[in-house]
Amino acid sequence: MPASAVSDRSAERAEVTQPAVRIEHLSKTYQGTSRPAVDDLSLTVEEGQIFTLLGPSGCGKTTTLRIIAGLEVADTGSIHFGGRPVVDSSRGLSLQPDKRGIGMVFQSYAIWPHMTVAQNVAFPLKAQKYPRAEIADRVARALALVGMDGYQKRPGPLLSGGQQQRVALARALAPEPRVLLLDEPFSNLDAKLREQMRLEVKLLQKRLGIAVVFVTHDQVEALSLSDQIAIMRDGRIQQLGRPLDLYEAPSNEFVRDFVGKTVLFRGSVEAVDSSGELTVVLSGSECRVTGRSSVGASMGVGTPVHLGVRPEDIKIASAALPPDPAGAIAGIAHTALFVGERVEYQVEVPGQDAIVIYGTRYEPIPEGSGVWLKLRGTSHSVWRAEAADSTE
Amino acid sequence: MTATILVLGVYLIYPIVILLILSFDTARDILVGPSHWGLSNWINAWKTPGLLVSLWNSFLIWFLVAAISLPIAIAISLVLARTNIPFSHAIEVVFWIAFIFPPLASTFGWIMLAQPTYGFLNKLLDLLPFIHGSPLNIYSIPGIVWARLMGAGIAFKVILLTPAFRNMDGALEDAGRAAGASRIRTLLRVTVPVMASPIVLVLALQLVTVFQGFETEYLLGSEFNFYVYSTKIYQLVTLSDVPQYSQAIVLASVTLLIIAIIIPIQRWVTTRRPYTTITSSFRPTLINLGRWKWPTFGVVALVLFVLTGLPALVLIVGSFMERVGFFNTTPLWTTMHWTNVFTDPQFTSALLTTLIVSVVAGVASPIIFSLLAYMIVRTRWRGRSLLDSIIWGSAAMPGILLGLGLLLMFLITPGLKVLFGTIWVLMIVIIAAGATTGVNVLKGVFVQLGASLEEAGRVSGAGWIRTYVRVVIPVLMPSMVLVGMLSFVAAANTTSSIILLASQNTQTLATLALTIGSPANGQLEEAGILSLIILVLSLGVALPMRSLARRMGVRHDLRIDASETLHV
Repeated sequence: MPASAVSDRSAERAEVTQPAVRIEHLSKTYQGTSRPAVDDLSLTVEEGQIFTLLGPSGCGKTTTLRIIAGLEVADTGSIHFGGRPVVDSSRGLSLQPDKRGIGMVFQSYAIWPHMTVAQNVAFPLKAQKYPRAEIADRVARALALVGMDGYQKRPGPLLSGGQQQRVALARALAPEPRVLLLDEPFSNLDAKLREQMRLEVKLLQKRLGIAVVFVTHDQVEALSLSDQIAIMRDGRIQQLGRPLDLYEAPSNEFVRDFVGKTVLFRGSVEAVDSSGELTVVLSGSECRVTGRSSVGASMGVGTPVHLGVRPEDIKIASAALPPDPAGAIAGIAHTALFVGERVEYQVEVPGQDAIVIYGTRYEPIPEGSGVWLKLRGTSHSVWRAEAADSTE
Repeated sequence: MTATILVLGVYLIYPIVILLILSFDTARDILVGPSHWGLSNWINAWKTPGLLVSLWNSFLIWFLVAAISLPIAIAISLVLARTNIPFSHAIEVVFWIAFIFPPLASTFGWIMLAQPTYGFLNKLLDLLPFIHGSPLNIYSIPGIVWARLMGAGIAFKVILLTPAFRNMDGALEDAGRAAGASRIRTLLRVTVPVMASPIVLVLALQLVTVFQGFETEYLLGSEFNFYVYSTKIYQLVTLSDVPQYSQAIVLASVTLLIIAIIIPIQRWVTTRRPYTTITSSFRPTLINLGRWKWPTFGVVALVLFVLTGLPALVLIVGSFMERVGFFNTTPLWTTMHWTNVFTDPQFTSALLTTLIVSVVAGVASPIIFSLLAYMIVRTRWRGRSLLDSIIWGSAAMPGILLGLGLLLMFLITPGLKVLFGTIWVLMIVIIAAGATTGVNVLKGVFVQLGASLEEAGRVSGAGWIRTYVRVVIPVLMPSMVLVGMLSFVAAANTTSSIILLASQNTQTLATLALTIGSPANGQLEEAGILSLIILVLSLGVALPMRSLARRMGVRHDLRIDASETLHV
């Protein structure tokens, strides 16, 4: 796409309110398998938004991304980029990947080893017929965006992992695509570099205002980078929302356990008020806690439930200190593990499974001593306890 | 895809079908008269002397070669891979040369050394007081076995096994030693069982070579009426006064049936891969040979000399003798044979043909094979496993059998007769003969490289062709150079697949050498010179190409290449 299309597209963005990517009823089953890899999936990515597909391996997130890119063909469904149809199974339409105007960064970066950095980044510009006079300039600008300006003549194989990733990003951004696709781009980097790149990509995206579809299995990455997250499992979206919504109000057990850690207390429903708020009495104690069921299931009095609390919402204090009996749970801290940024206590509470609570290193609690656990916040999530009590 | 399968099918399946059908045609002259269908060919075949015997002989030779070469190759590979023998890298290079060494050159050399009465070795041995007459006779079953061993029999296995032994996970043996086992015990209880897998693989590959000998058996066997399957067919078709097509066809059909049984077995064994390809960063510690270092080196160097240097030397010396083996001629030394060769128009024509065919094969093969490999590995087209099977199966077909089928196809099918004897036929046959190795090498590279480099090209806005030319081929280039080199060398050396199809004008150096050096013509010296030229051509291309490919960074090791190579 030649340069003049850039201004056309900004004008497009201003006047048209079409989402950057709209997927409707996408399905794909691989030959020889019975379960669909992608099962009736629909989602919308707005302009300038980072949209993340999060899930365990095999959930269909990478397949979805590849269908968006045109590297796989869906069985049914449609995909529109800014209102333009790119995939439409009812018309037998599936645009070739080179015609979709996307940029993509692969998990392995896919830097071409027989080309220099400049040749790598220039490749999409040449393929999309940018005027020759402009190419060197655009390459320099793209490299400057990712902090690799000056590396033009470096041969591809002589780059470190982090450098390859930046060049891959520059190559994807050089032709100013309307959608950027990232396939687990940070998973091959060491922890420190990963954090650094996360921040850089987020800043870059805000600066360019480009829509991003991001695939990862790392929930920390998803929470920190995304505007919207779709958690997937077995080809279907389990929950779609903002990171905070997914964290505070997971809609099912799978989402609850995939995003962040949860401490589960066993108990039963004692009372239900008119607004649906439940009073739960915890097994093995007199402690009463209020909460809501995010699933929306109605639970009558006496229903066995799990109360889900994020570990950072539980305060642990030595039993030697004056307890606040209201809402405090008694227990014994059996082991204390110092892991650097916190101390992890394995606490045994009568009537409950062993749970792990976090404390700080400033108020150490000796192993084997009694503790009080106090829950922060007034409303917690309540889950029906099934007979098969697994968290998977 | 369909077009590709049709083309390959015509080349491979049609001749086979013709062979099978014609075996039931009992007319006197199947090329001319009307066909009579019946079983009499098959019935009479068993009565014809030598037909069944030739099949048995094929198995016999194959078995002897395999049984002797395997232990020797294992021993050499162990020494190369697991001891501190000096110059081990250089030794491997020379084994590579031994692998490339033309079987014709090797055979002619050994004829000059060990022919009864006039062989150099016999003359030498005769000088010893307690030996009378010539103890060595190359024109015998042991002679044929020896010549085959001296050919690629040992070298091929060494090339396969050495990297496999070298790549063994050192941790396995360390665990054995740490558990208290002695060095020997570890070798026997840990090393050898783990190494069983590549050895089995090598044996399985050998299985397919049962019917593939030709030049050596032809040059040596006809002297004492010893025929293997391939030379029997050649004799029936070419050397009899009246071509005995019917008999040749029955023989070929029986062989086809046997091959049809062998292929699935071999395929099953080689694709099972019961071991994991181990590439650990901890190489096993090398056994220190101590004071046996140089003696061991001496033995290996001697083996290499016998495999490569000796035949080459003999060919050179013999070519300057008036009559090789005769020390009483005047003059003794002469350049007559060299002059004969270079001034003979047959020679220049053969050289030209060889060069054309080999260069075209060397350049076209990698491109064609990369496309075929791409079709099989990277697309989801429906015919691709059929394509894969056809290509795999084609290697098991002995050259002579294909040659026979194609010959009949040309003679019988109206319109194709005009192609017979042209250089185009030779080129097609030679390129297709190398398909199995080439396609499988490149398939392996495609699998190893993964699809993302190519996909990155597509999502960058490049169409399929641009991506293939700018991304796929450059990345594939080191392996393509390797495949091109193997194709060139195979083209320069091949005889059995083209000998029935070559006409007077389209001889290659190899077919010419085979003809004039045969016992019937007896121009051993000139034939030796021709095979020397083939040797120079082969090495002259193979060695630079090999170092070029290595410098470009050939990522897979020769073990994977060679494991797909079915020795031509």
